[in-house]
Amino acid sequence: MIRRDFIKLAGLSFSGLVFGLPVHASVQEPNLEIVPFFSLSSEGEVQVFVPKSEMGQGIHTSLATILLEELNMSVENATVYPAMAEYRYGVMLTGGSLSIVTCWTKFSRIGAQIRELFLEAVSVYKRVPKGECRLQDGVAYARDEAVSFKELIPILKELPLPGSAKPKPEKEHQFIGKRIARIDTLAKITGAPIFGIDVRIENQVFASLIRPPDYQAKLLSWKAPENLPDDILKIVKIKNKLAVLSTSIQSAMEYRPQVDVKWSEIDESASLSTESLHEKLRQTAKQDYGVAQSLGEGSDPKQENFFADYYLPYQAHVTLEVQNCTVKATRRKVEIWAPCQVPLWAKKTVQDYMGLTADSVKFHVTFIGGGFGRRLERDYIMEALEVALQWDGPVQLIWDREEDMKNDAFRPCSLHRMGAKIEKNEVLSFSHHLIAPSILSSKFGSGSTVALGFDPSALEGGWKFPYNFKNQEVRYSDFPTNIPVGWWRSVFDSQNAFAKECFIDELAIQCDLDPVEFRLQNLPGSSREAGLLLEMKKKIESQELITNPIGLAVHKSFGSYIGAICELRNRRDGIKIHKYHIFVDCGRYVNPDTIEAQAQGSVVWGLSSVKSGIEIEKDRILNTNFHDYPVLQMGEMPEVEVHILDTKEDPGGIGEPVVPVIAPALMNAYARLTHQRIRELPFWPFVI
Amino acid sequence: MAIRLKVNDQWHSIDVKDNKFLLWALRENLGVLGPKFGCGKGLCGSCTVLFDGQPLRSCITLARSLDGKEITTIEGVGSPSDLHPVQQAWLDIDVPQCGYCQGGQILHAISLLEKIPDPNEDEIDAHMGNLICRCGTYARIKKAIQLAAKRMNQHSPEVEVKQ
Repeated sequence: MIRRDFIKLAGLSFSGLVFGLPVHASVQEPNLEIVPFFSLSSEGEVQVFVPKSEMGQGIHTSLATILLEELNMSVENATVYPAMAEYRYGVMLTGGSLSIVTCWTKFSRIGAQIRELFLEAVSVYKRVPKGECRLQDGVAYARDEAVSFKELIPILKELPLPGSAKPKPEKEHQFIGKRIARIDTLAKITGAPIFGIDVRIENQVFASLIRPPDYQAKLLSWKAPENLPDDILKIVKIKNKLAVLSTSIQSAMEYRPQVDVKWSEIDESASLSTESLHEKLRQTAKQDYGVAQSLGEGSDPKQENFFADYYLPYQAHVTLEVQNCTVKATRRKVEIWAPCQVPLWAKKTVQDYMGLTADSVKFHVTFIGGGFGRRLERDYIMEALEVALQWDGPVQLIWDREEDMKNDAFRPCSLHRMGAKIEKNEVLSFSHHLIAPSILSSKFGSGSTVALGFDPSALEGGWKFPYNFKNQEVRYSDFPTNIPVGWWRSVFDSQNAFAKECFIDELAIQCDLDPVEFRLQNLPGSSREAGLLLEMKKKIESQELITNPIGLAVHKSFGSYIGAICELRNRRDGIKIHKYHIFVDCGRYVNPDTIEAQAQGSVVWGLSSVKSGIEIEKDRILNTNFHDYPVLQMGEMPEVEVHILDTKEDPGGIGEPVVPVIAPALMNAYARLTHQRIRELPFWPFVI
Repeated sequence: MAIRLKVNDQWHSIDVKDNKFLLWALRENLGVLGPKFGCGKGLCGSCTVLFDGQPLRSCITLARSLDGKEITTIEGVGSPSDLHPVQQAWLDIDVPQCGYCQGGQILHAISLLEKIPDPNEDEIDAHMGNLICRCGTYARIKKAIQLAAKRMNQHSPEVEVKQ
């Protein structure tokens, strides 16, 4: 077995654990910081600080590998820490499948600068020309003489970092592009306390919140019982919620019903229910809309002769680690530990709220037990802060599962009105009208979309696609409701790809063409989608698949082009989702093992969204836990085979782009097998 | 009330309320943080511990019901320098993504292999089917169980991982 060190959590105060448990070695104060991302300990140990949050996507491993590749050094031989939230790291957002896309060049350039600095140091130290010095596996060499990094520290302190240096050519890569073992696996299989919920600070107490029962309710009055039980410390009001503080989170959660709270009555006419959701979406479609894209002569609904409406529900993130945050706060100084995808944004929000400078707000990023976009929100952090401000000592806020389900920033619901004019097996015009809540205007105000007349982010994957129908029109109508919305893994691409790729299959049938041939006929031959389809066609025509009911989808999102073939089995007891063949063109990549893992995970994610949806009654979320919002479990998991196309294009993302093709490929296969077209999710007749 | 619990080979005396769940007794009274809070209703399996070799959902098990009994958590099955063969298979296949559910998954896998040393796919599905992994590591979990079974049955840690 290769020795792999524990991930050490920079600054996480596990050393402050009150229970005397074996925990991570506390981080050594970096002895020599070369750049914010890279230090040497006093023992010459290489430390890499990654400014992206690790939530299972392997980003600590991948980004550290890019940097260390320049030093001919495996990530196994370094210690990787999550960076503290500090402005000097630049962008610290982990989302949009952007980490590799935005950091590859930067990290390889930094690595190259460090390499040149180290070579210069060996050269000076051993009086050997720089060209005869090299680095390998964390050791420097002057000709054949080995020199430890520790020995170089005094010289490294004197030498300036070169202004720029050239990264290695791809053919010299020793690690990038090959399977790289994840550095955080050992911690995760031995139960190491690495998550936000595992943070333990001396004298920490727990908090559980009492929340409004629906999205309109205002807290009118409240009264706590006169005598609180021993383990209930205090009940405090924070804005429109109450917090129960206790020495035990179980006690805090269970005490909540004892507090007498009066909430305002709901205005039913202004509320949303699943029952009437489709009707409301249709009404909105008839009202005002913005034209986002018009090609050729556009597409006049009056001239169209083929239509389909697709409905998708709100979806929850349901990260397995519930929202939680630990805060130690006074009016002058704040320290935060949180599973967070936007630590700098959260830090800035805290600074602004408190009127504090960056130095007065210390923000530790923990490992994240499932991100999927949920931790792009800052709600749980601000709640914990407000509670902590009313308590003398550190407070850990933990949501229960039901709170987590009902107080999400949901993937918006949507209606997709698709239309086309077809004559003589040819599509003359194509239109897509999206009716959905705008995430942008709900978060940043309607000013962010009003000027355009539509929300461009809501149309991701629903416009500017390469199908080259001569006349096209894409329209958008906002659908504001009281239900909070947010960024859910693959965001609007999950919806637009569903409508687009299902409708394309419907058009193929109308034009009496095979779905692969129809797509190829309507795509430029030079497009990467066409490249994918040709690969997929080989698979479909192979012995393995030729007789099986299959469906497919292709979609570009987050810089990557993905194709999926879904294979069904028609058995006596019902239809089983047998296998997915995922075709990935994400350009150059760092770790093929990550691509496979993300593709497998995306199949599970995509299928879960076919299986369940959020149900609402009068602005109140009805789902509470995994029994009434069932997600995919092991027995339902189809086989997944991943084909990576080595296209050598610029790198694209991989955390999200596989999700959008999963549901449409399934529904296209289902339609082919049953001749029944499903245009509304959730829908789950499948057997294990 | 005062209870005695043997956790990972070590006896502890703790004072808990009658309604205290084992999960919170472990996390709050003993600082054993491997078992995780996922659903609070015994639905996801993140809080799993082993009792008598059987998986037990600690979030719905009263701590006092285990007075005088012995349990094992993920911390107790192997350490980073001395992994259980199931953990070793997990490591070699790089099963975890976020990792939050993995302790429970590993404990379930260990109890499966004790009962059925060479499980087929249906047996794996049946035994592991009521655990939830939001990242979707199911395919790799299955592969790791098969690898661990092979190695444990052949008493050979040298069985290679097929990539």
